[in-house]
Amino acid sequence: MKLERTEAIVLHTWPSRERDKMVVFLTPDHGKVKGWAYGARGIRSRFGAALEPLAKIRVGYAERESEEAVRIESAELIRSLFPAQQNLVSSIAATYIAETVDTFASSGDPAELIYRLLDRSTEALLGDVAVQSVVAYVEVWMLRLAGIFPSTKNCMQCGEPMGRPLRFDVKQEGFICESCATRDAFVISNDVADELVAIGSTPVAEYASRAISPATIFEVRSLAGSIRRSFLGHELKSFEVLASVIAR
Amino acid sequence: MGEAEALAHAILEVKERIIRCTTCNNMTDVDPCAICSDPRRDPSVICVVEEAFNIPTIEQTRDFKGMYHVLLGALSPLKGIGPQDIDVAGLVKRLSPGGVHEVIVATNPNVEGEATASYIAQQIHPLGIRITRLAFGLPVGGDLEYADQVTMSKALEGRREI
Ligand SMILES: [Zn+2]
Ligand SMILES: [Zn+2]
Repeated sequence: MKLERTEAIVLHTWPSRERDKMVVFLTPDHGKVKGWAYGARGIRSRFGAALEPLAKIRVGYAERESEEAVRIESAELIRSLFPAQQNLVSSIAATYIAETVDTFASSGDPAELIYRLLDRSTEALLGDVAVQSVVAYVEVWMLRLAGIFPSTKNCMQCGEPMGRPLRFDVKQEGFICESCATRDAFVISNDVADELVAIGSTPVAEYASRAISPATIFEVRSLAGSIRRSFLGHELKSFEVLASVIAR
Repeated sequence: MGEAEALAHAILEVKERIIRCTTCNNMTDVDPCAICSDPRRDPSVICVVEEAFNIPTIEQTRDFKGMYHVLLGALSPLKGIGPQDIDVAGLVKRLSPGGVHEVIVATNPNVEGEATASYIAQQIHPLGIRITRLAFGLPVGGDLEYADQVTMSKALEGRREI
């Protein structure tokens, strides 16, 4: 039995058996880890609020030979997202961000950049930011870190550098230059292209404190959503619920 | 009829008799349920819970004499359960004739319960009815030393005069 101690962020938990919880958390060095937290559902549990979704914790766990799930020995809270989770939109957005990361991060491999994205974006939700901008930021960056977001610099067909406006080919799910563009390509507005650049070069808290028109953010999210869905073959489970609370 | 068969029939019969109260969504064999039809209870206070099985826990205390409303779940984005999938509309409908002066939200003290409470508050605020949330106390028998920052700050928020 090997003992690990590391910083982590809780992605997802679900009740298991009478008093236990299954917890999936993201660590910088070992990616996604799934573990049992025995007795965590009890009202007097020693884990307290440390195993609530999106809590940043210092976790101690034991790996057990031939078992898929580790055993969580200790979890101390470093930062709770609870203050943000008392707001309806922030709470659902946080869950959606966690699902996004849970979907694309893998187990076992280092995930330092994904960890940093999750850490900074959830921390941003605790401040006075535009929640939709944080969501768009995570959607675009997650696809980038997963190597799925296509190049906005060179044409996917001929490799030549592209100018503005950008064109997106829906069939090939990539950006394409004017001369290669077919009927399947549509023009991306320069506002949206500017946001893609800003997302790529600005820390999330700073990005989400700028004023951006809702229509532009919606377009950025639609573009990321189209790339994500075509890669996954389905939509994330919390997507619709987030859309329904944002629309209010 | 064999013993096993008799038991199966009995279970089936019980299952058939159990319905949802059309007023509060509680599990019952008569409609409205025993709580909704009890004239000694105070109809001006409604306690909102996630599931019918939460009601006995509150009833045990004998401190609450008002009515209940069962949401039939909590907001749970990962299960695709959104605002339309829990019965907040039924609650709002019960409030609109007037006569209710307080809604106590007793959803679970976790992320999903909080999001649900926040949604209910959003829907009820325009009606001008007092809305309260169950205090997140410190567990009795626990030690202050072991309370984490969330539990402690919620306990501070819910403090009362002594
Ligand atoms: Zn080209
Ligand atoms: Zn009833």
